[in-house]
Amino acid sequence: MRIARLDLLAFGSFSASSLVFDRKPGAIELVYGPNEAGKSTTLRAISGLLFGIPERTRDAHHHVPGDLRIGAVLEAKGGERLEVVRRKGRKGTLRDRDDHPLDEALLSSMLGGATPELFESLFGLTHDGLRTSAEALLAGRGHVGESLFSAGVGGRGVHELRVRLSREADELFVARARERKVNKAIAEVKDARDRVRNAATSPAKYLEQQRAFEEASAQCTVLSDRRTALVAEQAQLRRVIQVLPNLRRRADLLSRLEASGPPVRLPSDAAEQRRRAAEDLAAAAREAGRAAELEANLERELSDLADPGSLLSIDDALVKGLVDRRGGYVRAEADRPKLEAKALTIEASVAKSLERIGVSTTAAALRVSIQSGARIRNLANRQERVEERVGAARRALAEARARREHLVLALIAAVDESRRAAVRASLDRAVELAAPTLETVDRFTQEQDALESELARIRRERDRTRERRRDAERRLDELRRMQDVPSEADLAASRRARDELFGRVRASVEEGFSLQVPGSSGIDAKRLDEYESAVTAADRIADRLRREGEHVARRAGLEAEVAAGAEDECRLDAEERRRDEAVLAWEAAWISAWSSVGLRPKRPAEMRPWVRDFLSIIESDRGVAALGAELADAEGDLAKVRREWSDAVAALGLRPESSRDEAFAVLDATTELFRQLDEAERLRGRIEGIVRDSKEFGQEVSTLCRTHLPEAEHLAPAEAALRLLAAFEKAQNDRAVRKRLEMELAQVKKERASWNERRQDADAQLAVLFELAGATDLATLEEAEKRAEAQRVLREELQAVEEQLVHAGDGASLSDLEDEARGADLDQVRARSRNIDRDLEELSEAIDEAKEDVWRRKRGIGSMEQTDAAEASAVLEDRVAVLKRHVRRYVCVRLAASILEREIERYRRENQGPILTRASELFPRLTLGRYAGLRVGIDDDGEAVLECLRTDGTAVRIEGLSEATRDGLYLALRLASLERYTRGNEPMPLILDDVLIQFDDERASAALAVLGEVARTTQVLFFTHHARLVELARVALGPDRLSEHSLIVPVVARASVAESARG
Amino acid sequence: MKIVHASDLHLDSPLVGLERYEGAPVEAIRGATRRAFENLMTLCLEERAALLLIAGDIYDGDWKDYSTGLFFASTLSRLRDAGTRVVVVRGNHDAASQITKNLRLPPHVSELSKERPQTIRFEDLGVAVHGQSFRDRSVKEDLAVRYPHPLRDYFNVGLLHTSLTGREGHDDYAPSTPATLQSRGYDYWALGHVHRREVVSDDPYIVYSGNLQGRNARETGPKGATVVRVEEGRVAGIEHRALDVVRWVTCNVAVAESDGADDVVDHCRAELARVVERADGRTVAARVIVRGTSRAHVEIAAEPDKWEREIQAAATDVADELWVERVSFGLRAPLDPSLLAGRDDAIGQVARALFALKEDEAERGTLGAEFADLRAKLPPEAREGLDAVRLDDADFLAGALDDVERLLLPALAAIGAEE
Repeated sequence: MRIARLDLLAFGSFSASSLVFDRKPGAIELVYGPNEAGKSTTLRAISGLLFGIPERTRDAHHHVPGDLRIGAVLEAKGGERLEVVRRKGRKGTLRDRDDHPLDEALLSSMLGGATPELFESLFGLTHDGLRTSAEALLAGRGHVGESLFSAGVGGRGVHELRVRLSREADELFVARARERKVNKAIAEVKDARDRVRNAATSPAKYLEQQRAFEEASAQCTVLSDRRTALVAEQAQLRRVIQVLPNLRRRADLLSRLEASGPPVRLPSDAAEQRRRAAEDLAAAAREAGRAAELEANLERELSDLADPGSLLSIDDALVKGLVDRRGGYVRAEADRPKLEAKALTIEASVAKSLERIGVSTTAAALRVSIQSGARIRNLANRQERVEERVGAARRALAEARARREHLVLALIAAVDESRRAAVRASLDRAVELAAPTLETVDRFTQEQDALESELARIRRERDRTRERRRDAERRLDELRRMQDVPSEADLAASRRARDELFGRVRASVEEGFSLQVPGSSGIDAKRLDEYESAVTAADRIADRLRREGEHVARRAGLEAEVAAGAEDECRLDAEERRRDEAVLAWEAAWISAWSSVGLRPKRPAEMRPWVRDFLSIIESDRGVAALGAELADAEGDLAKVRREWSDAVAALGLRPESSRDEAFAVLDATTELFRQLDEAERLRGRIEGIVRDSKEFGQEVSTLCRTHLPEAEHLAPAEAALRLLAAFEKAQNDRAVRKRLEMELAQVKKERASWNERRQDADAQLAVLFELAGATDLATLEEAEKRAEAQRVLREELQAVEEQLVHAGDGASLSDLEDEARGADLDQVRARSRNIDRDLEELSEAIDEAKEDVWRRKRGIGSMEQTDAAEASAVLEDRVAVLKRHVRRYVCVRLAASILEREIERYRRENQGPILTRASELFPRLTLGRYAGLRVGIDDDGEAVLECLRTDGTAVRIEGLSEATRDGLYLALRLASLERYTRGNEPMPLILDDVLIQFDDERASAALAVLGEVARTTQVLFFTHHARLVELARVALGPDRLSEHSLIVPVVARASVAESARG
Repeated sequence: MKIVHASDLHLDSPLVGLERYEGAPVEAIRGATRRAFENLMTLCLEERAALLLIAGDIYDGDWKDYSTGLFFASTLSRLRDAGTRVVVVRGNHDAASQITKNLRLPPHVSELSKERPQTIRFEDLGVAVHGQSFRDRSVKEDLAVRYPHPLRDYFNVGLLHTSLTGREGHDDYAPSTPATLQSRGYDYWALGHVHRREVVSDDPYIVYSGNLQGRNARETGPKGATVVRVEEGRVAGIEHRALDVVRWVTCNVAVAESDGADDVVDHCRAELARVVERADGRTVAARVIVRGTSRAHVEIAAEPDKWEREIQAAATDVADELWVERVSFGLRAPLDPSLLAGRDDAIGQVARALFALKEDEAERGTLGAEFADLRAKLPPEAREGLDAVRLDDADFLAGALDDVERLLLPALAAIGAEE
């Protein structure tokens, strides 16, 4: 593949620039660009073109990433060309010239699956690359296979890769080593496995534990049983020690009780009972005597009280009321003469005042009419308001009438002088007048407008029609004037004439034949001529008709147009007539609409304001009528108020026409008079009350005395009342004393009965005690009491001893205890008990130990459920996983190393001959003839290594070469490999990036000459910064073998690549 | 009435493949199988189960620690007061176990005979359990054909440790067929041996409850027991209950071409966070599988251990109770090996050589010979289980060659490029 043209359409600083590489076949394409001219950009453009522009590109500083474009024309080995454009993106970035996507496989098959890195390794060479690759030759000590392989993959890293792989493999595993990852992991797996085995608990171990546990449990049981027996014996001994003294005391008590004789059955408090009964008996006799004495005294006091008579039957409230009223009676009787004198004085003063005012009526009659004083004041106010209302109504009516008159005058002014009177008359009854409404006027306006526009339309149309007809006539005329154009009718006429002539000719001929006149046609020559000319004329007309068909058609068209125009005009005339009739009808309707008003209307538009004013008049008429009604109503009210007023003042004794002020003066003067009269009347009332009360009081007192206290009946009422009250209070007091005495008497009687009862009770109690003791008197009773007490003390002591025995005997009966203790010796028993105590102490310790043993063994068995083996086996799994991982990696690295090794060796075997032969030719030229060639030698390790032959036949190994020579050696190997590649593969352009900058002029010229040879089979793109190299190339290669291109610094907005193809 | 059906407890067997690293939740996974078994007890008590059926493989066959048996017996005692009866058959592992031979089980636990099919009647429940224990590790005959006829008026349960017609990843023991089981006329078949839960048939129900606790990266998802609801002598419903303590999951991470190695770590962190969220608060053991064509590949392929550690460190940020069991890098560089193989040059030659090796088993054998030293030293544990290292196995070497291809070709392709 060659790059025939590279288009930097939009990339880096470039826009629409091209490098054309196919001008001189087989020449080196030398691209010169000083620093910053875009050489590196161009190199990246080539990679971007072939493999795609990287996602994170640094060439999108001038153009936005989406706009980046690199174009090229590529030429395959067979000569077929492919024009492509690469844009930046993720998919479908390879396009054809028309921006249709292209299959990426077109390129990748050409590139043999190379990646950008591989392409760069194989077909790109920089100075640094050359230098490091040459150093790698040195690192590999010129090992032939590696050197060739390195030159074959274009790389300096082969040696490094080999070293890296074998080092990693060695780090992972070496058969006899210890400190290697795999070796170590194997050892750890084994350790972990052992730990798992050791951590496991075996069934035998468990069973052993179980058996030991059971034995310990059995031992524990034996010890416990023994302790139980000893504890029981100890308890019995302690019991005997405890009960023995009490048993002896009990026997003693029983014998003493028997000696005290038969038991006495008196209760324990018999002495107390006897003493209390004797005391009761004495006290009851004393108290009964005292009560009888008291009874006699009370009965005597009762009989001493006086008889109250009927006084107590008087109601208590009545007596109290009498006392209260007596005070009032005394005071009223004292006031009465003073009140009478005051009343007389006032009455005399009133009589005098009435006389002075001069009112004709009596004081009583006057009082009645005064009550209507409020009504009189009210009437006065109403009258004033009604008068105001009448005045206002009158004023409003006058104003409304004036407004209406103004409107009427304005309307009439618009009417002809002659009709003003009539119109005025009709306006006066405007309300019932059927004048046209505003709607009617508007409707007439619209109708009129419609009629007028109709007229305009008809006229317009008629003008147009007439114009068109005249135009058609004019053109028809012109046509006729231009030539008498025959018509179809002309042709028909001419043919008719011809046929007629032919008919005649025919008839003549037939006639001639039938006459059998030989040589005679029977036709006269003139007729034939006529016929001939008729035929000619018809033909000519037909010809002309045909020839002038267009004229004919036009003429026919124009004629039709004229006829149609005439017809339209007739129609429009008719329409205008109809319209005129409609106008007349409209006018008649318009005038009749106004007939009731009696005026001749102008145009509806002009009449519209008139109608509006007319409507205002109607409105105004309605206002006047309403105001008239209001006035009449107000005047009616006024008359009514005045009537009520005259009635009211008559009652005051005034004239009906009296004024408000007069009436108000009379009302004010009489008010004071009436207040005095009221006072006099009130005094009279009080005097009458006093007389009535005194009389009542006297009668009541006298009546009471007559019944209950006759000795006071004839005393004055005030004195009699006092006596009656004193007698009543004494009677009440006596009654209370009697009641108290009677109650005390009853109480004393009850007490006496109670004391008698207690005396009997005490007698009965003593009798019972005598009976129990078998005694007949108090002395023998006392003796029996003493004996019973002694027996009781003995029995109580016996009971206490027995209780102690039962308590200490752990529930055994008294007889059992006696049996148990019978014959026991207390000292022996005590000694045995002490021995048992000691034994028990020892046994307790033994049991504690045994129990702890059991518990320990039980816990041991319980903890056997827990396992360390599981954790150990998890660790084992961890170690196994580590081992597997290392082994996997080891296998991979080790295989990679040995496969690489093998392939390097195979490559050497297959390519050593041709490549070394070719390199051996190039190497002397690149070293300016200092070396004669290359050969394969064997080093101390028996490895095949490269040797460089001096011209004198001595051999130098890589280690002995100067740096520049080593560079030359690598370049020779590389170019030889490239030529070999080109033979078996699609050739690729070799892209050299300032590869010769460290070469001196002589060597550079030599290298350029060699590259010139390479360029015959492989496209060589030689990029350089250095003008000197350009000059050297011109000399070394000559114009035919060098194609120069300059990269111009793209300082201007649109970069361009000027190209010079000198020579 | 409720019956709980469980199997394959493998008590105290370790969770496999968990390599410890700093921040790994070592405590959280400790005793996972025991805690799952305790969860089973709690389930029985909460459900007031009348019967607990354990269809074999209580222990790991080569497990010698008697503690495990003691734990099993004492933990079952918790059911005695609640009146839950327990029926157990021995599976292949139990038959081989030293523990079963000596262990005394509590009185409410019945172990079915290994000599002949046996029926246990629970008259109060109206349930008859039929079954037979494994006599030894490898039982090759169909035990089910000799199981007794169902008892009339009883709810008949068949308890059987079997591989049925064969299940991937499980040895063929006591083979049988669903048709054979159906022909017995039982109401429910409680099966064990297969670790993945499976309802083989629903008329009658033939159910593998699956194991209680997943033990390696292949046993992913919820693990537990099946609760069988029996009403009027018929199965009214079955329900799986998750009882696992550690949840195994596979965490697939897709990587884009432009992603760098750090982006890969970020993707893993995000995906792990999602995975943890779905585990209902359990400890999670995750195998991370990173796939995709990416430029990150070259960097990661050079030092896969380092990047695995990075991802494990990221996981400790995600959750305390998250263990990244392994990160499997299935990444590829953005290059096409088959196109490279078409080149007539050094790298093309390497690509072709790798293809040839993958094709040629004999040639691979010679490669395997290089590892004779290592093979002799490797302990048996490395050759077993998930991710087994079998240096003489052609498939293992083919897989290794894939890794080599993914290591070598991108390295060579980039060898001469500027940094």
